[in-house]
Amino acid sequence: MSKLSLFSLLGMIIVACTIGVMYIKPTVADIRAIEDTTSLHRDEILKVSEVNENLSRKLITLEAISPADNQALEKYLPDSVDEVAVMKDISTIFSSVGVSLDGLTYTLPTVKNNNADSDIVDPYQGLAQYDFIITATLDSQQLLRALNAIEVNEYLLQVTNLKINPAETTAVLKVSLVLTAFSRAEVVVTKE
Amino acid sequence: MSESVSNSFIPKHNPGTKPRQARTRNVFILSAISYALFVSAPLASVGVYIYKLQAEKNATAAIKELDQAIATFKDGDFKRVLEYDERLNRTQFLIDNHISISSLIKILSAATAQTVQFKTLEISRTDTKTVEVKGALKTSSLDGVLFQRGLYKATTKIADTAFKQIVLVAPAAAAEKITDLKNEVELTAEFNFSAGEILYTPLSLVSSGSLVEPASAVGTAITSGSDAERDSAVSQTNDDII
Repeated sequence: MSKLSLFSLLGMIIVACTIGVMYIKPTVADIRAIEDTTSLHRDEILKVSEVNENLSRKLITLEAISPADNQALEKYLPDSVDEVAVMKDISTIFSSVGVSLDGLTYTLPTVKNNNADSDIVDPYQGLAQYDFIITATLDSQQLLRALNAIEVNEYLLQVTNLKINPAETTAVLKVSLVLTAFSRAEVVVTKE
Repeated sequence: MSESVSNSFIPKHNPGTKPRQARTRNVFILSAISYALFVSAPLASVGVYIYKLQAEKNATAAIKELDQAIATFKDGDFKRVLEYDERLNRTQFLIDNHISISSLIKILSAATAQTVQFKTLEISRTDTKTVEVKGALKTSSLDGVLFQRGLYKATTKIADTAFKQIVLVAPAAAAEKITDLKNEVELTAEFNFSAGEILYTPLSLVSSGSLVEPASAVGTAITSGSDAERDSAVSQTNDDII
C-alpha cells in the first residue's frame, strides 16, 4: 500500500470522528434535553387535564346544589354579619319567650390569626367572631326556652359565656349572656 | 557446516508469503473501518438531524397542547369552588362544635338534689372540646355535700367535678334562739363537660317539649347510693334547682 492510501484512510477516520464529536454527540445531547422537556410537558398536560376534569366535576356538583341549600349555607356562615339584624333576632327570640331584655350590645368583630411561631392551628382561624352581650331578668323555664330557640336559629349563635345569678327570695334569675355569631373572615376588617 | 547453521539461535527468515498476507489483511480491516466510518458518519449526522427536527416538532406540539390545557382552566371557576369548599368546611366545623347549653343545664339540674341550691352559675366555652361550669352552691349540711358529690360522680355526662372552698356557715345573727341555729354549707363547684356529650343535635328538637328530664330518669344514674336522704332527694330532683 502506498503512503498516500494510508494517509487517506487515516484522514477518513479523522473526518468521521470529527463529525461524530463535533456534530452527532452535541446533537444527541440536544435531542435528549428536548425529549426530557417534552416528557415534562406531557406530564404537566396530564396534570392540568386532571385538574380541569376535577374542576368540571366539582362545578357539576355545585350546580346540582339547590338554591335553597345554598341560601341556607350562606345564611349559616355569611360573608359578613349585620350586627343590627342579629340584635333584632336576639331581641325577637327573647320576646318570643316573654322576656324583655335589660341590655343588649355588641363588640367589634375579631379574627383569630395563627401565630407564625406556633405549630398549633387555631380552629377558629378564618372566622370572624361577633360577640353580643345580653342581660336579662327571667325565670328558669324562660331561660331554657330562650336557649332552645337560640340553638335552633338559622345561623349559629354560640353561647360563649353564661352567668346566672338567682335572686335570694324569688325564682327570678339575673342572666348575663354572651352570644357569638360567625362570618367568613376574609371580608372583615380585623380589630387586631 | 550445515549443523552450525541449523543450530543458530537467529530465526530463519523466509521472505515467503506469511508476513505479506498479515499486512494485507490489516490494511483491509483498516480500509473497511475507514470507509465504514466515513460513510456512516454523514449518514448518522443526517439521521440525527432529522430526529432532532422531529423531537423539536414534538416539543412544540407538547407546548401548544399544554398552553391549550392551561387556557381551558378557568380561574374564576376554581376560585368559586375553593370559596364554596372553604365555606362548607368552616360551616361543618361550626356544626360539629355546636353545643347545647340547654342540655348542659338539664344535665346539671337533673344531677343536683333539691337540698342543694345554686347561688350563682357561670358557663364558659373555653375551647372547642370542653365547657367549663363554675357554680357557688349552698346546702344545709355536710351530708348534703357528700351526697351531692356522689350524685355528680355518678352522672357520666359530667366529665369531671371538683368541690372547692367548702365553708360551714352558722347564721347566728338571723337566729333568735340557740335552737333555731341552722348551719349552712357553702362551696364552689367546678364541672367540666366534654363537648361531645352536649353536642346540639336536631333530634333534641323532638324532645324539646319536655325541657327537663323527669326525676325517674335521674334515679338510674345513682343507684349505687343507699341512705334515706338520697332517696328523698332523688324524688325531689327537678328543674327548679337554680
